[in-house]
Amino acid sequence: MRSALADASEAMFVGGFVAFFFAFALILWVDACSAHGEPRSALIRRTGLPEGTSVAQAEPNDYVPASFVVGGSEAEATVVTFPKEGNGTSENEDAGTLRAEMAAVGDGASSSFDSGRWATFLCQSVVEEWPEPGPEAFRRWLLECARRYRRGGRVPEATEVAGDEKGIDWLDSATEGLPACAALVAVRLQMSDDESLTWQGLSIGDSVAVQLRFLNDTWRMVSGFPVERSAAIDGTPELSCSTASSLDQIPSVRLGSGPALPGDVWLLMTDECARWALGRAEVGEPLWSLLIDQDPAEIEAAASAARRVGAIANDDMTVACLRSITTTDMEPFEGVGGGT
Amino acid sequence: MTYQQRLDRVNPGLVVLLVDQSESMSEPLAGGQVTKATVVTEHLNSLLYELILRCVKTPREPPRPYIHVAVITYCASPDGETLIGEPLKHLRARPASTSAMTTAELATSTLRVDRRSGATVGTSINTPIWIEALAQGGTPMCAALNRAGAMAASWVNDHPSGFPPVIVNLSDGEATDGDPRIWADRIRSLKTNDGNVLLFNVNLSEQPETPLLFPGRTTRLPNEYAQRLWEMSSELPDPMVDAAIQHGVSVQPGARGFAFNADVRALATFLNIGTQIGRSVR
Repeated sequence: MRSALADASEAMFVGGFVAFFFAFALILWVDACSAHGEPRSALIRRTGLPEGTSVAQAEPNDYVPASFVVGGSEAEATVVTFPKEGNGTSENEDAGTLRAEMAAVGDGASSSFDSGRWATFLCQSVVEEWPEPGPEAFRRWLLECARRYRRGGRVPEATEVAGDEKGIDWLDSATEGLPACAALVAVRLQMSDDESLTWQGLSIGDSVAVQLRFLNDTWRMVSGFPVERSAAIDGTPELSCSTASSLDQIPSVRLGSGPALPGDVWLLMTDECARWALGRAEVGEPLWSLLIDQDPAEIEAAASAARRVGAIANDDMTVACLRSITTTDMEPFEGVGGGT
Repeated sequence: MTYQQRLDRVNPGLVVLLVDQSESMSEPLAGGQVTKATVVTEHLNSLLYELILRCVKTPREPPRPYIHVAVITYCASPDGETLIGEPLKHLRARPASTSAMTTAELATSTLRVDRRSGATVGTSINTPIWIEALAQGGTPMCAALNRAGAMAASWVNDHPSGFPPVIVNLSDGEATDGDPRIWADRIRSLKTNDGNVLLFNVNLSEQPETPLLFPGRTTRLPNEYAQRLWEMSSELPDPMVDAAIQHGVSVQPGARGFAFNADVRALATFLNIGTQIGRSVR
């Protein structure tokens, strides 16, 4: 019989190797991108954490990879995000955060100020502390987020403005107090009291989550939250803004929930990606497999082609993929009807 | 669908501001104490300020070059010679082939930054100045429109899929070198795949009439100069009407890009630089 110490040593060795491997793989990936110019897409894949380990233990961060167990169903999440054509990755105002059994994407409104940072703040906050049930609780949670964000102040991440540029100082005071506004959609998986898998969703603005199920050799949309049609994404959403100081400054929010089966997938998308994906599904040319595969190069290439022909606007795009994975302990979904 | 193209690095926009600096602009605005030249200069500097702010995205980087801006001034010398100026040229650190500046360049190329009293007692705000007030000679508006038209024609040729150029003419309307409607028609006939060039006019009058923004007809305009400038103005395209309504501006059917003794800073918010935010949250 092996000693507990030997087991622990081996576990540490394996864990260290896994960490080293992924760090090395990340370096290779960044180098490969750099060889072709500035990396544009960001993809974080599953870490390969030891079986049964929950990344709820991991520190929340942008694009933290997630692998977790919900009841008898393992789940994982990934995210692909890339900026609008002509912009660099640092100018991407979208955000995505993955943690434990949940995923969130945020879309900072380009017409507001420093919106990417606010979108990231919202995404990180929702996976750290999921709001209490009910729309009013969610609105109070958003208001508290705005207060905490303002208390944190603006923390410059880099000084890119040359100090000797004439007249630039006036901009600092001109932008003081300008609102940052963002859309947010988040989904989490839970086991209900009767031990069936369920999903819960939170939404403000025009980001969308779509639940998909693989039936008869193809991905089919089971539900869309908060909308299911591309035309419903109208381009003038009511968003959460960092300047909100009372509940009457928090617009309406939407909550959703529903049953799920092991093997179901949720795609969480910022508005232009959602408009594109829903629109293509409506004309019988769905993009679900492309988006579920989460290959950043393929997704960005397809988006670029769509932008060139004017099918979609030139916008930052983000799609997170949250999967509940079939395990031997649960009934597989194949053969189960009910998809739409 | 037209006027849908978002402004960004790949598809930047062009805004040309025409500023009447003729002698008649030295008259007081709306029977008050301040001259039309002073007010038009304030409007212009305010509009430049707003355009730059629309392109500032984070405190960690300069404004993005989403909008190119040109300013054309027009007046005449004492001996009647037409004077068409491009004052932003003189603010450039280095010579450039184009007189239009990006919003990124404009932010760092102020003539000066004034400190003015803020809305709250004891506070002050930085007010960047790019253009100074001037009033002399005649009003060669046709020549100025011709220069702006040449810029717009070059732009649509270089950016056939972009949002069409927006030309804003700030004047009291008394052209002295012909009928400006002919030049206005020519400008409005230029187009990209996204729509025709937009010509907006701001009429500053000494008559103390109620200010008007985006009127749909001429009945409340007090004189032929104002009516002529309204006729020269483009109809507001649907996305701009929607944006105006979102910003709480009452827009009549057939509204044109015309203002009478009114501030047009709102124009900056009509330009599509990403998602417009629903009204209730602003």
